[in-house]
Amino acid sequence: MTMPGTWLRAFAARSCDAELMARVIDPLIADLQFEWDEAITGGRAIRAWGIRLKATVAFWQVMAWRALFVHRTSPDQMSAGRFAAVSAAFVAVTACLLDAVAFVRVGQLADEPQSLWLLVDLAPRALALALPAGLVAAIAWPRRAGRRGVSTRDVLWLAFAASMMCFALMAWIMPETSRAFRAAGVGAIVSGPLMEMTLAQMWQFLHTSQPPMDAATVWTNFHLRWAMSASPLALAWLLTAIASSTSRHRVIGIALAVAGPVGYLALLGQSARLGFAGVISPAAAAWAPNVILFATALALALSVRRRTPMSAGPEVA
Amino acid sequence: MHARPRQLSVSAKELLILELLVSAGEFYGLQLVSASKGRLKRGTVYVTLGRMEDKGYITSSLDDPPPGAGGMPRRLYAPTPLGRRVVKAWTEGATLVLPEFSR
Repeated sequence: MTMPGTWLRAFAARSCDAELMARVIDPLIADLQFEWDEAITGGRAIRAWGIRLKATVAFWQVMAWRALFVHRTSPDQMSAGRFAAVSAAFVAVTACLLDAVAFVRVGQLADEPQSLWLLVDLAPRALALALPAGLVAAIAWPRRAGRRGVSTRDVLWLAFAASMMCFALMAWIMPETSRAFRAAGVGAIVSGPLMEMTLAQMWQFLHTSQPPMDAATVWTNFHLRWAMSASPLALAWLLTAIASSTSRHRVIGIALAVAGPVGYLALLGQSARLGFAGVISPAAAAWAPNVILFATALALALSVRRRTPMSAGPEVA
Repeated sequence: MHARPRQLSVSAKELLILELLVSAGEFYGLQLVSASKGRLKRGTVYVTLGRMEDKGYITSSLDDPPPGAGGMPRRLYAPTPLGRRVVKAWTEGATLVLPEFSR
């Protein structure tokens, strides 16, 4: 019978360095094998399988810890776990600031005092805007502290996770909080019927036998939610391309990193107005800023590749 | 140039491991998990032991398996003199500050 842990060890050996293998993986496997051997010798097969299961869970805990907190493409980069924590901190701070600003602004526009529940109603929108901004700030942060930054792979994975969260906020959570806020009757209506529809409801609404009065507004809103969900990916890719092309000019890189989300939102606002007015198609209005970001990122990445010798490594952030 | 004095830090889990090792002399990783009565977990104990070895609190050596037994050689952990002093200092400090918790 093959000793347990042999395949796990072979898997770990493909990605872990010799020191990690010797100090963490091998002792774990060795203890598993000893305990398992003792149980089998004592005729306790069920206990042996229990030991195998517990040790396998422990092994994957170690591998997850390694992926999040140990693995780095180069020694002066942040680990993925630390980068995610820094991003989450920036997102939380940015979301709180945006929420507070929106609350004050609505209070100025409304004729009656607003309940604090308005903060909850506005929170999903604030969070959706904060996700790409927080990600960008986290990418720029290590460069300011003198470190090289994070690996492109980690940035894009986190951007993908941020995009998924943004989509969940836009598709389901924001409509739910808007509806609950209106139903609670704690202040002036701030959302409107469109903001209370999930994406599925908007799709059905747009394909009813009697089309809505203002199809351009509804279609633009529909496409905007999808486009904003993709914005963390677009901004992250643009930022890594900027980082690689301005690697010797950190101040410029940071300035562009801050200008990225602000510029994106300004562009999105302008194109959305054109879409609501029916001047351009709703899909073009919503997706044009993302297309511009992706095209810029691609152009920068290609220009860096042309300038960089073949022997340079793949990590740019 | 003066060398910067090393700052000693010890977490609760590291202190527990040191106490167990000082009382028993040496342990395998799995024995520490059993002796801790659930306070140490399999998934994290080896990582913590590696970190403690970096700090110089413990030392480890490979132990050959008994004759007839299969498996890889196991790693045996023992406290270093520094590790013993850390436990002693921590225990004395705790007793000084909170005498009602002295053992």
